[in-house]
Amino acid sequence: MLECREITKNYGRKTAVDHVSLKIEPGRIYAMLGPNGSGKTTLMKMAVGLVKPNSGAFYYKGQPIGIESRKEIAYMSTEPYFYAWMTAKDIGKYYEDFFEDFSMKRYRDLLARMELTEDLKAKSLSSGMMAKLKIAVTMAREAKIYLLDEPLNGIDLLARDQIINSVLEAVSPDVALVISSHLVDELEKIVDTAIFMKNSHLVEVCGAEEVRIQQGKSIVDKYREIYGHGGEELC
Amino acid sequence: MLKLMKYELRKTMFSKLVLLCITGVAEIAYLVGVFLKADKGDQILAFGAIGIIMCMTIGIFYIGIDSLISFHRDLNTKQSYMLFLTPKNSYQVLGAKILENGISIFLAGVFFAALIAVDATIGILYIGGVKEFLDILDQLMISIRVDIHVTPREILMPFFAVLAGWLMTVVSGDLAIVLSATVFAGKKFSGIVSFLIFLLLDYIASKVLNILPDLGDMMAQYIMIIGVSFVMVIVMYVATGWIMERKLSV
Amino acid sequence: MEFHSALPIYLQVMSFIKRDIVNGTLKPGEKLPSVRDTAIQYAINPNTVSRVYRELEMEGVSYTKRGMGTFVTEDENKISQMRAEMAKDLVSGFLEGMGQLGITAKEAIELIRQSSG
Repeated sequence: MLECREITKNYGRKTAVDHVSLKIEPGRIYAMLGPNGSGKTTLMKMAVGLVKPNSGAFYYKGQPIGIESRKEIAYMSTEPYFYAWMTAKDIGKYYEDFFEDFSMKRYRDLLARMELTEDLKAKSLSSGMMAKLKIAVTMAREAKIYLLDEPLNGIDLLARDQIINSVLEAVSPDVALVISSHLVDELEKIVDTAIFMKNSHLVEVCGAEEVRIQQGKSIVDKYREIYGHGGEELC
Repeated sequence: MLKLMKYELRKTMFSKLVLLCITGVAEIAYLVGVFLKADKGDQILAFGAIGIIMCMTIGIFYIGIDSLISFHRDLNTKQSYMLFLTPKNSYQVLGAKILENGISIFLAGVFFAALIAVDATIGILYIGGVKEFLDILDQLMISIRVDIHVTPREILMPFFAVLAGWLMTVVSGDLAIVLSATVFAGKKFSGIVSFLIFLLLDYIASKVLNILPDLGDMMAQYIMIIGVSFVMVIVMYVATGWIMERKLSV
Repeated sequence: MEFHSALPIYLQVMSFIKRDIVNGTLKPGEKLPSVRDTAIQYAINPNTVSRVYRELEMEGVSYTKRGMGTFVTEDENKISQMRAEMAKDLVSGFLEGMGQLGITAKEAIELIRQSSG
């Protein structure tokens, strides 16, 4: 459904993403794992066209990404990005203005569940509240692909459950979710597939249950293996 | 496109409201000055008249600058995601910005021209005669070199030519901002290089306007200047959009 | 819900559901929650839940009515058989653990008698 072929991005002399090829299939939840600076964020930003690759490209349903793909791909960046003058209500209105798949009803519902109110000002939010607001407005879209960059960063336990729920509610056979994190255990149970990034390379893609069944290992074990010992074997 | 323009307007709303408020104060001062008549109201009338003229020049100048500041922020801060995540391409994003700004500059021009016309009429009627009115202004050291036989159209055409020229300058600024965020991104002195490119573009643009043939007729001449300015706005807009679409990473 | 992260999650959820059937929390013939609701309830992947439902059906623990959902078996024999199997598994695990401590089955029975009064 969404794929990239040999995609590379350099920032000056530094390579952020190095010849990565990846396929995202519908009906699945992916964990994109790796330490900070391993290229997860840059890869996601290229998938929505915020960052232009130096070589290679992203394709959505066989076509290069562009206006059409942005209608169906919901991206949530890890940094706050709303205009400072906006309230939670303005943000909902903005999404309603630009995204046909946005549901104001679901947005209000999610805000209530995250214990946020519509009159909250974007610039006065704590980082935890901002994280919740970002996820609410993103998950209120009925997108085909959700790309969530570090959605669980700076979130308290209760809100974490709400976020996991809103992610699970979005799953359907024609929808794919990619969730990036440098903390593995919180995604362990909810993902089908783990994508491991290391030093701007894609090192491994493996099914979570397969790893448990065939290797008797958890994704956390796998993570330690890859980053702790630097192993790069394929599974 | 209209929705993008709505948010462009929202972003620059604050400075426009401030401009409106200051103009309001100057206008009140002017009217109070007019109603108090010459001997008592001189100073306050002068203050109002100068205020309005300054609001017009600085205001219209700032509306363009404000658009450049907001564009710079839209490319170089995280708020860029707001624009570039929407299912709109770079031409639409930039087009909305230039269109909003062009309309704002034009409407501000019309607004101030109308305001000055009304104020002058009030002044003439209340003080009693064009000559007396101009005498007062003259005493107040505002040199207005307006020949009263000139038709309004002949004053307005150069005025709108200046506005079109200003929009052209703003759009060359947009192009320079995009160059610094793309071709020169991450390089040393990218800001200075872009500013030099901006000066160069603006120089070329004014040169182009200078080498236009003399049509002999004032009206036709200004229409040509305005037309050529718009053509250059469009050329720079397309070039800027083209670079954004291919190169811009936010 | 606590899971052992190195063991297949579908097996763990299957035993949770079986336990609920055996102890009567889920009644024979009762409709099981939808895949999505079960996923949210356990905070696990929906595809894992689908697999749980498939495996349970293959084992005869549940059955699917087309367009209506998945239901707990009404076969009482099947349920008592499940109870017996699960009890047997627990006992053998228990005895294995005791064995590792050097406690024989007989001594273990005595310990049980003491602790349950």
